[in-house]
Amino acid sequence: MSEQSTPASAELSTANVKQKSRKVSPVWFIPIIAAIIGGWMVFQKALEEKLVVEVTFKNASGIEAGKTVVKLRNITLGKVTKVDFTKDLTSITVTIEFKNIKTDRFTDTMRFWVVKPRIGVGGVTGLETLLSGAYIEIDPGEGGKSTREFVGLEEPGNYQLGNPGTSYTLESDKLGSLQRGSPVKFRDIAVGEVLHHHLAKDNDNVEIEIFVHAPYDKLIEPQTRFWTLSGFKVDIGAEGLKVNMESVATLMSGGVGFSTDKISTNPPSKEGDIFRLYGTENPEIEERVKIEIPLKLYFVNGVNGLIKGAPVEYKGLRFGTVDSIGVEESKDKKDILTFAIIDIEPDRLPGEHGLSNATDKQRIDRTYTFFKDMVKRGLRAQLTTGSLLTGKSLVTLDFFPDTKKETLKFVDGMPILPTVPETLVGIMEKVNKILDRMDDVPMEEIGNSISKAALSVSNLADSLDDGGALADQTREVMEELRRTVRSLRGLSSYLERHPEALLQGKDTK
Amino acid sequence: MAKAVLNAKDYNLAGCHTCGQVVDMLNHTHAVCPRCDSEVHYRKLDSINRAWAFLIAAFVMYIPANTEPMMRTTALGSESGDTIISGVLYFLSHGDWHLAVVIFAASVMLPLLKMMAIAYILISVQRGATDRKAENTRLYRLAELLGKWSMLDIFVVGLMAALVQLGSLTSIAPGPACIAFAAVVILTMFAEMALDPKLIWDQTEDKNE
Repeated sequence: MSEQSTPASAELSTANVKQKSRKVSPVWFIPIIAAIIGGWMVFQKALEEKLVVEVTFKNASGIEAGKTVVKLRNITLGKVTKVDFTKDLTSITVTIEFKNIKTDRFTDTMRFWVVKPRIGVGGVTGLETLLSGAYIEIDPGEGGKSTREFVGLEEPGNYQLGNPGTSYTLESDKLGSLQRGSPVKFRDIAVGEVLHHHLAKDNDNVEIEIFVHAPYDKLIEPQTRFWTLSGFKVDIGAEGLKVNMESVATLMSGGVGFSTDKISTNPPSKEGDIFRLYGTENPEIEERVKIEIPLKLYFVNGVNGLIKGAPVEYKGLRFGTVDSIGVEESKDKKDILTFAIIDIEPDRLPGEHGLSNATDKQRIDRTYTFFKDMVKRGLRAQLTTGSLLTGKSLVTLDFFPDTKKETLKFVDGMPILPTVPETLVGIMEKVNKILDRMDDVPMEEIGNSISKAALSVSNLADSLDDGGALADQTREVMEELRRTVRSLRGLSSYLERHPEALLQGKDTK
Repeated sequence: MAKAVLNAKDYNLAGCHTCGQVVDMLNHTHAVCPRCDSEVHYRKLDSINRAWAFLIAAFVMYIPANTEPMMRTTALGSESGDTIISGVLYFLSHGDWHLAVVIFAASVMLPLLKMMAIAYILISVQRGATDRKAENTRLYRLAELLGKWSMLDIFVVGLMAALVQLGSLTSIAPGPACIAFAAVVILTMFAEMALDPKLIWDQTEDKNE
């Protein structure tokens, strides 16, 4: 029963009786609103786009389920929900849950690695994780196939997306002091870094991947030379003593330097191009030339002072390098011949520079033709003392038109370049030196002693007529003679022991 | 009218909800208090409906209050959210079982018990149960008494959030469950206020008619 309400009064009025419609009470909006809010709260999580990926790590040190987060540029994107072994117990599968991430970004170019404190030569990284615990960092990468299973990197990677630049591969015989994070320098300015290194598939080379930041990657062209900054280097060769020193940091961590010829107008190299990594900044001297053409030289007077790696020069210009020296029996088995094998680098020969597009075969043929011509015109090889200080020798090529005609012969496929003995100039120099030494010999002293002896002898003859005086004088003469003889004996025995005194003079010490 | 017990309604008397003035209703159900000018009814208006509405709303909010994190702790860059239950389990796993019991009782059991008590009273009133009238009234009083303590959690979180603000080192922020939990407590209070305990006795007498 319901009636229109009226103020409390004594008067009893007839109420307008209205059947109250069974409307839903407005109070029921409250649970509806509560249901909406509560439902939103509960299902908000469920409605979130969740993405679960599995990453396999060899070692999951510091990773905890429910705690370790996954970050991209220090922003948390997801969380590790499960850490488990793979079936064969060899590695760890980390299950990561991402929220609100566009799913097409998970492609096989994505890389995962664990960030924890690391102390390297390049500096200390990941220090913040000392307190907060390790976390997993991702580099989203670009392109690639969509996937949900990844293999984590054991070593921290570098961001490549949003970090413009180009990566290249360097090949080297050995790694040296290079390591991950070693700088790549151009004119001593760090423009990149070593990403990682590994043995090439054939185990013959080390492959070093470097990353050069933009805009410096434009500097890298197909002709660019890379070399290791080994820090400290001392070279003793026929050229004398060379000392090379880099900064102290490079001394410890190594580094890669590069340079490009200024005149070059080549387009920059592409991502992933392969370069040779040389040992020194000036590979002209050692390694730059890829093709080497051997020649054999027989030296009649031996190969004194010649070592592997000694230069082969023509009027001071380098043509090649001594590859090896050795001995072999002569054909008639009567003699043992000393020989040297030199490697001629055709790039250094006249008219050959820049013909790099010719095939190796063509270049070898051209080189042999060149040498045939030159030998006809009198080109000969010769052993020369390069440095008096070190006594090292080098092979020089020069024209001796007066020598007897010879040709470039091939013995067992190996071309023999005729040689001449050391030049007359060199021998004359030596003779002069010997004569100079002769000056130091005490000829006058010897002459004086002899004339003194002769005088004494004549005195003796004179005194033979005198009586007592003679005896005295005879004794004197005998004394004098004995002294002379002793002095001569001393001289002869000294010369016997130190024959070089004849050349170098007596050591007056 | 054979009634065991007469009540004020039988004499057309009603008490003002606000000032307690006894008013002769003169057979009307709606009136205005001559003393404080507020509305007077025999019983609280639409009591059972409102109580149910508030109670159901409270039940709904009880779900996010327990599934969502109550407190968000950010320590050295890593954020973790704790629900009430995970806090209880944390204390249990660390051996502080009495603390766990206190938290569980105050934050999980108490609101639930209160809501269930009101629901029980409402159901028995609607079914017109004749027995346990006194027990139901006592239950109502108990619910009213205990309900006051269920805001404990909110106070703790409020205090922690205000105190632990050490920038990037550690900071605590209230989670979404806080709002839900406060809503549960407030809505159960509303439900309890909307419920007129006199109805417990009314229904039995009507039944006896």
